[in-house]
Formats: sequence, C-alpha cells, structure tokens
Amino acid sequence: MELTFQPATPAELATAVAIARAASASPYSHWDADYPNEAILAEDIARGELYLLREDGVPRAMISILDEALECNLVSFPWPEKRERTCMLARLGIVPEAQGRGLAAETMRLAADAARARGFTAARLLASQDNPVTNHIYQKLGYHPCGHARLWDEEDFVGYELPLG
Amino acid sequence: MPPVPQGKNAFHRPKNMRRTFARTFACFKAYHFQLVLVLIGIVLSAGANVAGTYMLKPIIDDYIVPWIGNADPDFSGLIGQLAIMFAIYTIGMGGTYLYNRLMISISTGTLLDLRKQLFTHMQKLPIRYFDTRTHGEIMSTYTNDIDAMREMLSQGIPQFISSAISIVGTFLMMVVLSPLLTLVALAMLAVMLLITSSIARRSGRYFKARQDSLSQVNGYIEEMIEGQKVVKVFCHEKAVNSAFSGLNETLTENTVTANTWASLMGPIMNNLGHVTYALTAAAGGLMAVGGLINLGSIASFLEYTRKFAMPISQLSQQMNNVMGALAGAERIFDLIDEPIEEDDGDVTMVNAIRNAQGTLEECAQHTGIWAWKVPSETEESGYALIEVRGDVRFHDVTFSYDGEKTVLKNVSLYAKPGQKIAFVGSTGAGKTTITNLINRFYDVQEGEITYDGIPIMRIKKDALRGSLAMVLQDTHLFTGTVRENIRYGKLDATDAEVEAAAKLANAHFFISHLPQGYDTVLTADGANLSQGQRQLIAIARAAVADPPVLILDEATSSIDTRTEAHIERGMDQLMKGRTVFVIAHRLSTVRNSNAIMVLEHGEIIERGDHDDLIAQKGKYYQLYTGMFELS
Repeated sequence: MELTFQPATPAELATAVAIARAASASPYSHWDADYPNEAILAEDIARGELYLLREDGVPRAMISILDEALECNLVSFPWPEKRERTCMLARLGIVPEAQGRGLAAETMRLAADAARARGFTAARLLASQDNPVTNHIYQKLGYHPCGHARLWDEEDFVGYELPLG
Repeated sequence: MPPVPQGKNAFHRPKNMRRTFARTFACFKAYHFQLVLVLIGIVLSAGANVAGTYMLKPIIDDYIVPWIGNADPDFSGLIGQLAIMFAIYTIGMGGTYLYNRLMISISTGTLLDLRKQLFTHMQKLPIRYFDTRTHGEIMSTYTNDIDAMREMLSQGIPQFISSAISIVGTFLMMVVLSPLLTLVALAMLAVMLLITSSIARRSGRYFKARQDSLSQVNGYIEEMIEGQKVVKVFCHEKAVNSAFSGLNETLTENTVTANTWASLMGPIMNNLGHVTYALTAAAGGLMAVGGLINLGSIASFLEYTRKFAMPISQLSQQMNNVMGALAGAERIFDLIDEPIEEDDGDVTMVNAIRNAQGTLEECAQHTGIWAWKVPSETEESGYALIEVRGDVRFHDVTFSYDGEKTVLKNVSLYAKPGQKIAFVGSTGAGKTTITNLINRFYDVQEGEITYDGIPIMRIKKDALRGSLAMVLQDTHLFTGTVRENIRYGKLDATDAEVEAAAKLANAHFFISHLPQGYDTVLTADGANLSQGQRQLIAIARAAVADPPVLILDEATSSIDTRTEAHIERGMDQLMKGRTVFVIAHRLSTVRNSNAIMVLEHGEIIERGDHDDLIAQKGKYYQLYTGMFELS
C-alpha cells in the first residue's frame, strides 16, 4: 500500500469535488452542496492549498492547508493568542469506503508535515463538538483544544492548535 | 475612484478675509438686538475701567493731599467719591456680565444654526465631494473649525473690541493727564513690543512645527487604528511602535522648544512692565518736584501705564485667534457653498396595482408592484406608467472621473429582469465605476444607461436609488438596535417585515441568539459582531428594502470561505426574481451568474456564463485555474 500526499492540480478539481460529495454522506458530516462547493475547492487548488491523499494511486482523502494571513481564510474564532505564521487545516474529507482505517490521522500527519515544510509555525483547525471521532483523532495527534464557539449558525465548534516548531 | 488630495494645513489665514468677516457677521442676523446690548456692555465694561482709574486723581488731589498736616480732616467728600468709584466699577462689572452672558447665547445659537446648515447641506452633496476628500478633512470642519469659531464668537471678538476701547480710552486719558509722561510710556512700550514680537516670531515658528508634529502623530494613530488587523496579521507591532516613537519624540521636542520660547514672554513682559512703571514714577516724581504735575495725576497715570500694555498684547493674541477662526469660518462657508447634487429627472417611482384590464394604475398603498411615472404629452392623464422590472442596459458608455483618465470605454451590456450579472477584473478595471453609474453617484459623459427603457438621466435620483439596494464590502452599521439597522433599508417596515427579511438573509438564527435578540444595541459600527454577522445584517437591510435591482460590491470578499458559503444561501434567497449586479474577487461568488463580464482597463474583454468562459480559455479561465491572480 503506497500513500502519496500532494497538492491537487486544476485538472484534479473533479476528483476533489467527488471526495467532498462522498464525504458529505458520512455520519456527523455537516457538509452539503453549498459547502465545500466546486468554486471553493477550485480556489483552494488555484492557491496551491488543497492536497490529495492517494492510496496506490486512488484518491482517498483531501485537506486544505490555508494560510491565515489571507483574510478569506481567517475564520472569526476566539483563538487564544496570535502566532507568527499560522495555517488553518480545513476541508478534511475521507471517502466513506476508506474510513476507519486510520487514513484521517495519516492525512492529518502528512498535512502537518507539509505545513511545516511551507514555513508555518502552528496549525489550527475547527472540529464540530458533536463529532467524537474527529475530536479523538485530533487530541491523539497532539492538538490541544483552545476554545469553542458557535459558527455558521449551525453547531458548536472546538478550536484546536498544534505548534509545528 | 477619483484621486484624493492630501490633507490641508488645519490653520492658515483666510483667503478672502473681508468676505469671510462679512459673512461671519451675517450669521448674527437673528441677534441684532442682542448684539447692540453686547456692544453697550463692552463699552460700559471698558469705559468703567478707564473712568474708575481716573477717579484716583480727584481722590488723591482733592481729599488725601489736603489732609496732610490737617488735624481735623473732613471725610464726607471722600466717602462720596469712593461711592462714585464703587458705582463706576459696579456698572463695569454689570457690563462685563451682560456681554459675556449674551455672547454665550449668541455664539451657541449661531453655531447651532451653522452646524444644522452644514449637516443638512452635506446630505445633499454629490458622492464626488466625499470621494475627493479625506474623512478627517470633513470632520475637521465640524470639530476644529466650529470650535475655533466658538472661541472667536464667545471670547475673541468681545475681547478684541474691549481691548481696542481700553487702549484708545487709556491712551486718551494718559495724554490728558500728562503728554510728557505719555511719551516716556510710549517709548518703553515700543521697546516692549520690539522684544515681544521678536520672541513671538521665534515661538510662532516652533508652534507651527509643533502643530505639524501633532497632525502627524494624530494621523499616524488614526491610520494604525484603522489598520489594526493588517498590523497584527503581518506582525508589524514593533515597527509600528518604533515609527510612532519617532513621531512622538519629534512632537515632544517641538513642544518643549515652542513652550520654552513662549514661557520667556511672561517674565520679560513683567520685568519690562516694572521697569516702565519705575521709570514713569521717577519721571513723574521729577515733574511733581518741578510743579509740572500733581500727585493724583501721577497715581492715575501709573495705573494707566500698568493697564496700557495688557490690552495691546491681548489685542495681538486675539488677532491671531480671530485670523485662525476666520480661516475655519471660510472652510465652513466653503462647505456650505459646495454645489449640491443636481437632479433634473422628471420620472418618479410610485406604488402601482394592476386593474381588471391588466394595465397599471397608481395607488397609495404598498402593493409590491412599482411603476415609473413618466410624464407624457400623448397620455390623457399626462403621464405613462411603466412597471419597474429591473431591465438595465449600458449603451456605449464611456466615463472618466477627472475628465482625463478614461475609466470605462464603450461599455455595452444588458441585464434582463431576474438575471445575475457579474463583473470580475483587477483593481482599477472599472467594476465599481459601473455600479457608481447605475445609481448615478456619477453621470456618464458619453453613451447612455437605460432602466426599463428609460434613460436614467430622466429618473429622479431618489426614485432611481429607491429601486436599487447595495450591499458593500464595508458594512456600515449605525448605533442602534439590530432591528433599527435592518429597518434602515425601509423606514416604515413593520417588525414582522424586518424579521422576514432577516430570515431571508439567513440572519435570523444568530440575531435571535444575541443577548436581546433584535433589540440588541449595536455600538461602534457593530464591533460586537463578526464580519460575517455584519454582512448578514447588511443583506437583511437590502432584503427589507425589497428592490427590483441589487448591487453586491465585494459584499463577501473579506470573510472566510465557509462563512461566505453560509451567506450565499441568504443571498440566493434575496436574489430570486431580481436583477443582480455582482462585483467579486471570489470566483465562487460569480460562478452561477447568467453572464460574467471580465473587465480590463475599462473594457469588457470577455463575456459569457461560467461554462462559456472556461471553454474560451481566456483571462477568466486563467483566473479560475489559478494561472492569473487578481491584484
């Protein structure tokens, strides 16, 4: 089993959209047709921020490593303190048939490595408070919770942070 | 946007002093009677001061001197003189109170009228006025200039007149008492004026430097407050602190130097005053010995000498204040004289109802149908009613803000009712100019824009703007409740309409979770809300206005992608059945438009829907696939 983790190219937009649509069917998912939509994923790809995880060449997961210095990536959340170069990990999606095999944790690990390589000193993410699976994974990977807030009128989110130094 | 000239120096002399002075006094026209009383009060106050001092002469010469060596002096006459003196000073006090009290009423009343005039006039000014000036410059008229005028009206002018009367009166009395001693006093006065003017010149130079430093410090603080986010995101706190320290130190140095020079003035004037007093006393003594003057005259004269220099220095001080205030008054009058926005339109917008024949009829109540009321000679009624549908067309429109640089070139486009038309392109490509022309913030110079077939130049601006709603990137929320802020889109909207609009804009959920729901008071431009929430309120405001045409100018560009997706749901509801013009950097915002116009240097270089433009593989394709970045 060979895993590759690379930024998606514009030609892979359809793949990213397919992963998003498939992942939105998962339990606990709050994704729908509006989010993340094709245009959002296209913009992530255009900025080189969206990564695809392939297992033996088959796309299994995606995640975006967003630069928080860009206003369009800066979610209004009560983060405890400012870091110099912070990225936001978002739009983590795993196709349903690949779930339960540790690919989410692996994607997160590879994303942290990629973020470190890009010069980020901390990674942040938001997890839905009512999703025990993702909260468990993030804490196991060393992310520490640092606040919570209700976002997008939908649900309560926990903010996590991982120093990358 | 047209170029904004840099700020002007806050204090300078008026360009046309005579005209400004006359106009300032014209502001008093409602207070003629009170002004006469003020003048009487000033004359009484200054006159009493001069006359009271003169009373020393008869008291000393007629009563005190004769007592010398007298074993049984008669005090009855002296008591009478002292009573007269007391009465004179009491009248003076009454005069001072009268003019000060009246000037408070006159100045506050005049400034009340001026502020009202300024503000009312400002509402009628064209957007060009605001686009070509900084906010600080306009604000300065309301704060610095009005304050300088208040000072001038309440204190400057009365003191100026009082000082002038005192100088003339004192001088005359000095000449009457002793022309020779007057020459001595004048000689000393000349020396004093020479020294003080030399100090004033130097300190004035440093006060000007201090004023400039102060402006720089204030400007820097204002800029940093506005740019806090940028400073924080780019971690520029240290650099900002260091730059501020430099400016702050310069201000301190200039302040210390200016005040050091200014603080010399008091002691020098005091000492010279004492020297003058001593010299005059000595000269008077010599003259008395020679029988040229009596003791009472010397005592009165010395008192006049003491009082003579004060109004002169006050006069020069007041002259500077009056000049500064007149410069401020000139700026106030300039604003009041700014030409207001012209409106030659004769087409209005009215509520309409469809009759049994299917034709439109004007009606008073809100029906949800609006019609353009177009004057027509061929119609029996004198006007034709055309339904407001939102059909907007540009016919070969060319436009320039300054008459030199063309911002739009031969732009032709149409938006049919219910269509969403998007504009994308780099900064300065002309996107916002298009919306500025639709709502007639500026008028086209070549070509024509029509709205439901009517040239927009014929439509009254109120009616035109009433048919449009705008949601901008910088959402402006006013101090007031959430409900009031939404109602700003339609002042007579009921609570139910406000809530329905909020639901449409997807804002109801978060509003109902605010501490007081719709009655939560927003302060400081809605600082207690997130950018996304402010945006939702702006969308609700547009929704309650229920216009046939919507303009979204970078309405979601400064919020995160997920919040934008959330807002989009509200937007989609709002856009249904309306003509929508969208300006966006984000392609996710424009993707589902009926037509996307790609602008470059004021020209439409590509047009079509998303799929057409992707297939064209031109600039839009490059933008979408990240091969080209919008600046």
